[in-house]
Amino acid sequence: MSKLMIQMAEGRLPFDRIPVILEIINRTLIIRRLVLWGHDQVEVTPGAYLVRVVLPSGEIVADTVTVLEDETRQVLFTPSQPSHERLAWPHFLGAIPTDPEVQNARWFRQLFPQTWVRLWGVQWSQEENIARPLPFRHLRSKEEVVSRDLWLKEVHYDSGIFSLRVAYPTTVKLGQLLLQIGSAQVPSRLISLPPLFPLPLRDGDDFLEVLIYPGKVTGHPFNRGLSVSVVSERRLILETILHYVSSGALGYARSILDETFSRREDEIWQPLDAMIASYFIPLDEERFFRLGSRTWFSSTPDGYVINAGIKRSRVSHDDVLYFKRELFLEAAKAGIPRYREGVRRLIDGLELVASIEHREDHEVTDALRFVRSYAGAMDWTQQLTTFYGVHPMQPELNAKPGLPDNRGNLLILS
Amino acid sequence: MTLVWKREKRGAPQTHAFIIGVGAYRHLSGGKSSRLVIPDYGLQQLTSPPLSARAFVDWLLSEYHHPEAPLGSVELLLSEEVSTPCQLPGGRCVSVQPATMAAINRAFKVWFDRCQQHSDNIAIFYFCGHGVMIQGDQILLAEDFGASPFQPFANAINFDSFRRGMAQCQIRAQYFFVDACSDIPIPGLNIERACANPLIQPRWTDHDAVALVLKASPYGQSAYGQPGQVSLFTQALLRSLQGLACVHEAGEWVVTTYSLESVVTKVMNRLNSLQGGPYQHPFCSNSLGHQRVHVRQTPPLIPLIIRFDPQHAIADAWLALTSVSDLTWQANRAPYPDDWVLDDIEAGSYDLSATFQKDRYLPIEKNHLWVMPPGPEPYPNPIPCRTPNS
Repeated sequence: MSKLMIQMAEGRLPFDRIPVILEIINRTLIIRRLVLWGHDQVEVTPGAYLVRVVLPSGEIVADTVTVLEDETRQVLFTPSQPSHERLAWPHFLGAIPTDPEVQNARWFRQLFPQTWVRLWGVQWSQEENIARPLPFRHLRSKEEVVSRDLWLKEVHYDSGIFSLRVAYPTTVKLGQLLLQIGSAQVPSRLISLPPLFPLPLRDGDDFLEVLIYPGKVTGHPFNRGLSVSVVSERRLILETILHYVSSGALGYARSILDETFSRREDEIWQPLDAMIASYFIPLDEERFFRLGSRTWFSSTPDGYVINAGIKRSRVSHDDVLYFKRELFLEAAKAGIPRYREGVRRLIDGLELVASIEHREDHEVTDALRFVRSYAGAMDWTQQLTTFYGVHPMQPELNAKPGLPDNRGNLLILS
Repeated sequence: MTLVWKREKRGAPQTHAFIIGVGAYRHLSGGKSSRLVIPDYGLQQLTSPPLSARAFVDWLLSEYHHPEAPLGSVELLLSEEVSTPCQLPGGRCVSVQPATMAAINRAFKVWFDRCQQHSDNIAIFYFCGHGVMIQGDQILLAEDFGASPFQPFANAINFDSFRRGMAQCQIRAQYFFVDACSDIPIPGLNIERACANPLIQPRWTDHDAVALVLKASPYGQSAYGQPGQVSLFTQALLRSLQGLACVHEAGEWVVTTYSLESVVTKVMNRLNSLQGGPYQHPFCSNSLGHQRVHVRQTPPLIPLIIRFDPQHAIADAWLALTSVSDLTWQANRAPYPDDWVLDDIEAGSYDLSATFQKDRYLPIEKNHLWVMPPGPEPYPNPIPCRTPNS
């Protein structure tokens, strides 16, 4: 029996918890595709093979090997390295440019003078006493700028990329977190950060890396090329899947999702992550409700949207419209989804309800107007919900650039 | 006439295509009408969309091959400054109607009816022309966009609603290729809803559509094309369909839904780098899962780059490339300083041999190469050259 011992090179990243796509190709170009978790031993017939891993960034690392009868050959994959070790994870994912065009801080300052960042916490609520009313009368909000000390843990600059380590402040109740960024020449925008794990975490346990850099689309009328990526080192599988999706490799993302469901679900796979992945790779009803047995979906507006959108075999044809109306309104009352896909589906769902009802449904019309006010000011290229505006409750595309009037808790980057 | 191709077989699954290319806009600056749409949303006359649509039709008619659902019909609408007939393979010419909203509605109805005739049919929709995004919806503009000053988008397609409405067509697969901008015009910010035509009303009970959607740009961004040339996205799409997106499955070279979406992205990145224009990234969504889109009847032609390590070693090398499957095929090259670039060779297994002038490196004998789509990465890696002392 001949074998290939396949391994990702040890380094900064825990490859035993990161799934990547492995392809073993024989001389007749037949491809055997597997999901590799750091290392694996694969039985093959003797012969010559092209062995390669396709990474979420789109990078392909390949090697050729000829294996004889009863022989075991080792294949070691060493992915490309970023300019700085701390950027290993976003580099692996393809969340930052491989060839940053701006290499030093002075150039960054010239391109984007007075770049600033701050964090908002938004509580969406239907309780009258804690929040202020919104145009959507069934939803209220309470928003505040979060003290910088509570969320900002580190700031680094390397190879044209600012890297902010953002901790989830768990000592105060903040609800949805929105990172706001702007500069002297770039209008302010707000980026919804991924949902918090529904787990009791210690302060600082969960953190995100926010990467800020000059993007390739420098002439964009709204962001002017000031680009932002957000990645989490806690959500290894979800981030991997989302970045396979971003690089156009939905088939690979599907393979990883299936593999994770079959093998690793209870070990490292959070139901919340599975839910977000299901935006891009639809789950069947059985899998969805297997996840749904846990208390996850009410922790984020996205959960309500996915719950509303899933096809239910147990609901009769006649009840579908009423049922969907209730679910999508419930989703709208949970606030603005944290992922672009959620906003898209919420609009689609509410539009369908509005177009099918024969009489005017004021509740649905209000909800639709509320969500569309965000949709109209969104940067739809981003996976995380990103909208322009100076305040979380005032999405607008024609916001003026510059520093905000209230400069408390701002982080000035350049 | 909009039906440029028809070979229908009753009771058998087929592929039905609906192609729209709009370059000439009556109510935009430079258009045939004296009444221009105000505001003009920053939109101009275009030359690329009719060419792109024609190129897509050419590919469908001359190359498209799906054993389970062969091509049954092609509906084509073109709006161009000077209307010219569409030449079919074999030389026959047919005149083509302009892509007004009324013509689009009529063509849609017959296309939809045809698609529904068999549950294993395949529907292909292709649009190239102006597109904008209004309040989160992508709107595709017909030739007579702006005819009504009160409802300028009445003569436009709400693509997002259309795609959802197409879920009523329960067939094997639907492919949507949208080669249009999706950026947000400043005058559009003040519009509450575009009220564009969905072509077909979406329904709840058909919510789970199975479709592959490939767009030239994601929501909120622009798509590009050089005047008088096929657009960047359509170039990438066609090159992918013509072979770069092929995978070898069960002895056949097939383009699948998964390979198409990932390779179009790669080819667009390559074209972006080569052409040096504005950066453009396609957008895809796929609720179809894995399906065959097109089966090639011959191995695809792939670019190959052969590179040595150290790179300068290739300057001293006599190179010979031999096909493993066809021993009569061989390519040779005399010493030359650059990488060996072979533009189009059949995908397959090859052996590379090299001998070096001045014996500075040891000869390379039958180094095996896998030449596979999408290329042209120097698979597998630069070939190492060893010196006699190493």
